[in-house]
Amino acid sequence: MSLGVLEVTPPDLYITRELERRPVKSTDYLGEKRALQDLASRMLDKPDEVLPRFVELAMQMTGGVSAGLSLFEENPAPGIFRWRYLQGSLSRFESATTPRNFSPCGITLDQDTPVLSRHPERFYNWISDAGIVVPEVLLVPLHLGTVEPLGTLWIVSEREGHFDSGHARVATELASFVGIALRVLKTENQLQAALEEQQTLAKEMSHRVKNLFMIAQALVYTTARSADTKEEMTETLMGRFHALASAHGLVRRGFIFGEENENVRDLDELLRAIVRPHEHRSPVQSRFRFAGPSVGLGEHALNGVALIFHELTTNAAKYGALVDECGRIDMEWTRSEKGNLEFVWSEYGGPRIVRQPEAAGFGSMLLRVTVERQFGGQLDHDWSAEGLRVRISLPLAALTR
Amino acid sequence: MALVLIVEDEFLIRMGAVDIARRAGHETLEAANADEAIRILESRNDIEIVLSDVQMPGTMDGVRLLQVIRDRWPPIRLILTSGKVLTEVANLPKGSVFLPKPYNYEELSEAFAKAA
Repeated sequence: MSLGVLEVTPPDLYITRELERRPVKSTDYLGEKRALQDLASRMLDKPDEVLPRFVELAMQMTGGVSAGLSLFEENPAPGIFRWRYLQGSLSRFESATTPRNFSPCGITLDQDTPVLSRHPERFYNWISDAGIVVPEVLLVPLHLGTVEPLGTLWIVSEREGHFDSGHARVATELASFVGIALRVLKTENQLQAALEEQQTLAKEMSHRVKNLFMIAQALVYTTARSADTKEEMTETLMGRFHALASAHGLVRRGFIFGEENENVRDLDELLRAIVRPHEHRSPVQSRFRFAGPSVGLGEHALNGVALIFHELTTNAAKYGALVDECGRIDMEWTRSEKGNLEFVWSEYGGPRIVRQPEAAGFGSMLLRVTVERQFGGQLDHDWSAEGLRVRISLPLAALTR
Repeated sequence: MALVLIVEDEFLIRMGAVDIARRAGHETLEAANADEAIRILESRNDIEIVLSDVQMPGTMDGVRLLQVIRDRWPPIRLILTSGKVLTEVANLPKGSVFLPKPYNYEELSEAFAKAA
């Protein structure tokens, strides 16, 4: 099979020049015109119904025994033709596919003019393999608009010597209508698909908004239970909402509908968003250091991870390295061979730690429960004199969900 | 007051549901997916109500889970909750209650009362 280069074809296979030599049979111009007008008027409303009629008309007006469209599809490379809207003796081959670069259709597209072929089954084995005998086939290129041809309209005759230049003219004329009908159909399908996608998207969004309300509600209830004053509750709650909002801000930026995996965000990016409010007011040098490989976070994991680091950050702002301007925090992480994210949160330069805090507040509870229950991970606190060090181990598989 | 098994994959929502159920005076157990829920159901016989989300990762979604529970543990009262509307949820087992998200304390209590 040739790939894109010209076929070496036998001299009697393509006999397009014969068209001009043959006497033109009388033509029913008026009948032709009426049929075309009738079809053209219905084209905009019902392109899918009009297409088979055009093909049938092409067969009738040229005296063929079968006709159809070959529509080009890019995949699999180098492309194929799919037979559509077949009429007459070959109609049982509806939806069959034929090669782009080894077929009369391919030749027609290459030459971009009407083509006449005699007994193509003698050269193209895929035709003879299907048990088809084609005394003559007339092919005309189909144009969708003004761009390059995207297929052919073809008509098969019962005997050799059948087609003449009049038939080629009629077929070319019909092909231009078929091209328009195909174009209308394509636009209509695209519009329909876009509408459906829009509806699915709206449903999905409503679903997500409801889930967010549930999450907000849960945070309000649980925060209210552990807060001593209105002010404390407001502050804690606002902080948690902010952490969730920054997590969702990251998702929204990358939101591509229907491709869940595209919603993955990087851990580094999330960490920076969460600690940003605690950066020096005039940062000569950042007080945060981030060091670790890229770790993708799935949308589902994002809330939990955001809360984990929000609670750590809040804690540091209350008791640790972020109490005043002197402290700093190192965040280092690696991917372990066991498939875990090994994360170390190290605080430096905060108030000297004299003893380990005893009462675990709701924040630390939330931190522990999220690490252990949501992700099946591990959490270790180490209160050394120079600052808090937290080791977190999370299964990577749970983070990408 | 009843022992309620709450099945929900989103940890924060599950935490909220547990909170609401406890305020309503119920005792709670938690599962993050259908497989976990089945394991808990197999391990004890005092669960009276199962509240499950529809969309969950794993081998079964919430609807399938409730169908299995209806077959294996017929007396358990079933509540299905979702951010979807009821018309989008097919094959809800007979007698189960649908609780649209977001729900509050009153709506959850009402669903508990309705579950038969």
